[in-house]
Order: sequence, then C-alpha cells, then structure tokens
Amino acid sequence: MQNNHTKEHLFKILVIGDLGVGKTSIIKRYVHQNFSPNYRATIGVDFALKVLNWDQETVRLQLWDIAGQERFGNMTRVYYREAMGAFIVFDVTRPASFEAITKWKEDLDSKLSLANGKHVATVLLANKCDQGGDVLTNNGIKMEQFCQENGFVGWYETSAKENINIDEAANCLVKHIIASENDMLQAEVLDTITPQLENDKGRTCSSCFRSQ
Amino acid sequence: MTSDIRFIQDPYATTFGGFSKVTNFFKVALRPPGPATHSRAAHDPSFPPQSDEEPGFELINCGVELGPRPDVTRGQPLDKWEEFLDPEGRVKNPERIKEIVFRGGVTPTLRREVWKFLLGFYPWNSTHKEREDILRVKTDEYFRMKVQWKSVSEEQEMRNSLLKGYRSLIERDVSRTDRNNTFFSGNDNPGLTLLNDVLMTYCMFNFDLGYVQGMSDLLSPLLFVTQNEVESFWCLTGFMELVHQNFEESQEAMKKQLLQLSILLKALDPELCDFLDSQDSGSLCFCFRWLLIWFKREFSFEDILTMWEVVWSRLPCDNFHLLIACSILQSQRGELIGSDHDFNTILKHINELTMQLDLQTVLRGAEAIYLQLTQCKELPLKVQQVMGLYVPSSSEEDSPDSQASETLRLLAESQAGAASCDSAPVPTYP
Repeated sequence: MQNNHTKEHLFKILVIGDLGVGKTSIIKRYVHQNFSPNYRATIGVDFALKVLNWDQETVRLQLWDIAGQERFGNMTRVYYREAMGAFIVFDVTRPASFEAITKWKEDLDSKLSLANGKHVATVLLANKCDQGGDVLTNNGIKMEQFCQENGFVGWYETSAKENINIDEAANCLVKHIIASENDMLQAEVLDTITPQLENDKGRTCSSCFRSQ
Repeated sequence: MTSDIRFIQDPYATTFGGFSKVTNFFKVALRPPGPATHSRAAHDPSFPPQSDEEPGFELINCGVELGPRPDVTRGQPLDKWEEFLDPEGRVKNPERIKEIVFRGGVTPTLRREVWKFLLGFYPWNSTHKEREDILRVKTDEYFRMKVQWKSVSEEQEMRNSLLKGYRSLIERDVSRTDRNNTFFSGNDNPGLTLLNDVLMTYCMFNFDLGYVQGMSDLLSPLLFVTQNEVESFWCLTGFMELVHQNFEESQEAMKKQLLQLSILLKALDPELCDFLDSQDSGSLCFCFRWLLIWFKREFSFEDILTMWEVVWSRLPCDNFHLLIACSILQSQRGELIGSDHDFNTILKHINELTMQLDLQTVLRGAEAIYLQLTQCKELPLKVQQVMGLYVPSSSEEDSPDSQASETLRLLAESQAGAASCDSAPVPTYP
C-alpha cells in the first residue's frame, strides 16, 4: 500500500444531469477526442475508460454515462456504487437543466458516500457554453457561491463541441479524488483496527490499489 | 422427497419463496387455481426426487437435468403474400404466416403489408374492404389526435407543464434517433418531422404514459418500413401494447422481466448465474437496455427489423425475447466467467457487444433453448410460467405438456437433429 512507485489508481466517475445536456458528448470528447451532433440518447448506462499520467503514476478513469431520464433512476443508480467522483452537467441554454442540479446533487449524496462517510468530490459543468451562457449571466447567479453552498469542489464552463475546459475539469476532479483518497489512507493508517476496517470497507471505496 | 411434498402442498409459496420481492406480482397474476390443477407434480409419476432436501432450498436449482440442446435451422423469409389470401382478402391461415415469420422473418418488400397484421392494425380475418374502412377510420382518428397537440398555443403550453415536458423530450430525442439511417439523416430530413409528429400524437393517445426515452427507438423502424405517418402511428400503438409497461413510472415490468430472465438463466446455466451472483450482478441489471427496447441498440437497423418481426409472431412461447437474452448471455459465458470481470466490467462487456452479435446465431440459440427447455420433463413450474407453458385452468387434461407439444409440433419441421419431442417416451426415474 505504501509502495508509491508502482501505484496505479482506478477511479470510477459518474457523469449525471438532465437528459440532453451533453453527458455523452463530454465523455466522447474527453476519451476519444471527437464530437458528433448525432450521438444517440443513452439508455441505461454506458461506460468509457480514460488513462492519465499523473505525477508518474497511472490514473485510470472509468467514466459512467448515466441516462438522464428520471424514471430509469432506480435501474441506473445501482451503478453509483464505488464511484469516487462525479460530474454533474447542465446545459447553459436551458435554465430548467440548471434548476435540476441541486436535485441531482442531493440524490447523489443520498445514494453514495466514501468509506469515511464523506460525499464524493463533484464538479459542476456548465456545458454548451459555445452556444452562449445566458442562463448564468442573466440570472446573476454567483457560481462560486452556488458551488460552495451546494458542495461542489469546482465548476467549469465547458463545450464538448469546441473542446473547451473538459480536460481542465477532469484534472480538477482527479486532484480532489486523490486528495480525498489520501485523507482516507491516512485515517486508515492511523487507525489501530485497520484489519477490520479493510474487511468492511475495502470494497466500498473503489478498487484503487491494484499493485502487487 | 421433502421438497416434493412441500411443493405439492403449497406450490406457490414454495416456488416463489425465494423471490419475495416480486411475489406479489405472481400472486396476483397466478391466483391459485382449483384443486385439480395442482401442477404436473401432483399427477406426474415421473416427477423426479429432488437432490437436496434442505428446507428453504431454492427449488429451481434442484438438479434440473436438461437434455441436449437441439440444432435448429432457420427458414426463408416470407416472400409471398397474395396466395395466402382468400378472394375477399382474408388471410387464410394466419398461424402458417406466423410460423414462416418466426422461422425466417419477412422479405423487405412485404414488410409494409405484413407488419400491419403482426402489430394488430389489421385483423388477420379482415377483408380488403374492411381494411379500407379501418384505414379510413384510423386515419381520421390519427389526425383528430394530431390536431389536439398541434392546436395548443405557446401561451397555453406555458400552463401545461406535462405537454411541454413531453414536447421538449421528444425534440431532444428526435435529433438523436438513428441519424445514420438515410430516412433520418441530414438536418431538414422530413423523416425527423414524422418522428416528432407521431411521437407527439402518441402522447395524446396515451397521455398518462406520454413520451419516455426509448420510444423513438421503437418508432423509427416502423416509420422506415411503412414510410407513412398514420400507419407507423398505429403500428406503434400495436407495438406499445406489448411493451408499454417497460416505460411506466414504476418500472415494475422491467424488474419483473429481469427476474424472469434470471429464472430462465438459472435453469439453463446455474454456473453462469453463480458467477454473476458472485460479482453482485445476479440482478442482471446490465440487460436493462436489451429488454427496454428489445435489443434495438445491440443489432444493426436491418437486423432489428428481422428480430422484431420474429418476436411479433408471438411464437413459440411467451417472452421469447427473454430467450434471446439467454442466448446472448450464454454465448458470452466463457468470456464472462473466464475474464476476471467484476460488477463494473460486466456491464462494459455487455454494452460493447453492440453490433458484434450475429442475429441468426442468436435466434437459433434462442429457439434451441426453447426446445431444450420444453423437452425437459421436470421443467420447474416457474420456468414454465415465464414461457407461458403453464396456464392454470380448470381442466386437468389441459396440462403444460399438451400446450408444450402443440408449440413443439409447430416447430417440429425445422428441427434438424432433434428427435420428435411430443412422442418421446417419458423418462422414468428410480
């Protein structure tokens, strides 16, 4: 566990938000570096992998594309488990998709927490910013404040179409995931009843350690 | 024989005890029949002893010995139509048509006509004249419903959040439904307007259900084949008769089907089930997309036309789409069990089968599974129920065996390599 040289991280990241805000497009842009206006609506859940080099370590991101249709929630939320972080996405051209953000966040927090009981790191994405950010500016929403009040670790104006800020947002999320992982590690090392903890909680906190 | 006795005394509780979550479904659907119908176990002397007599043991796993899986050949598509009609235009032998469709689908040029029968728009026994009348009436009815949403002003819609919501969902999904198909490609394709209008009109037809994601996937092949707004609409309502529960808010029908799928899979492949259970995937939730829209995303557009018409034939048993799912899952058993997959990567593997599967192989597999199961003399009751082979009734003679052999007879012609099933001697057990 202390062997940092061979350390490889595997992080499961959820991408959630209303239907049609661009979740699939963001993932395809990030993973495959391309964009198509003709992606199909996601049914159920989908899954893509991205490998990053991070301070000489390897970070594997499992990006989980969760269908936005609310009534499939019961069927798709089984895949929330073991996630270490999340993007919640809205469409800057559709105010309703922004209004749904707090609902998505509350739902996420109620269904998922880290082994230490904390909420998973979540970054807010204001997507389709190439089509104008009227929702944000007209409503005079102070995004920094909004993020603080709602427990987001950061927010980005993104465009999957124009490839704006997607890498930056992902780096921000990974940074926070690694930080919370280190928090948990330290807590575990300090804890004298480690063996028991490992049995109970090793499974719930993502399979980060694939070393040995 | 403890479990036998328990089964006879209370077949329902025994059979469904392990599935308490959904027992209510079955209890309602399968209210215990009269005393004479206490299942084959009561009067079948060949009912085998159970290998495990522990109380509470899951009955379905009790050593169901399935025979070999027969080889199955597929047939030619239905490519003649007129000769099946009598002078007034009635279909003379609908069962024969359904058999051919089940066996080989429909040749593309006939689809437009035959689908309207398969989906119940035209009754099989209707005459040419009656069909003209039906079309006229249904055309009027369609446009009456279309006018309803067309005539809602923007201002009115502000006060109708449901309609506004449906419209917005449909708009978003129309622009991402089968855009690679020439019927829907490009920005100003009239196919897109047709998709939109038929889906909006469906909301008026069934406002409680409205529009739910996945419905555009169901409509697009119907539009492509009928090339007609009114006909595609009524075909959609026929298709939705079969699947509308998949889209209901409660999602109970989806849960029920996943459970039924696991019942089938447990009978067919306990080892695969054990593996999936060991990876917390026993719920088969990774099959959700398959079942919601009948494999629409897993096969090419052309293949889906064939698969759907095969399933619309309603042969050879209920829930044939679940046998198709079993066929695919079993084709992946080596890959799944052998490759160190976990809860997450099982889903990834299953999702990535899209466009990788050979339809004819899958269909042959599904039919072979059907034959294998129906030839099994001690097929668990709940497997029979999923396949619609066991129907509680007041007639003792109307046993599952006779129903099974009826469907088997229909299929016997295709069965290369499999011995005649209904006449096979009943194996006896010591």
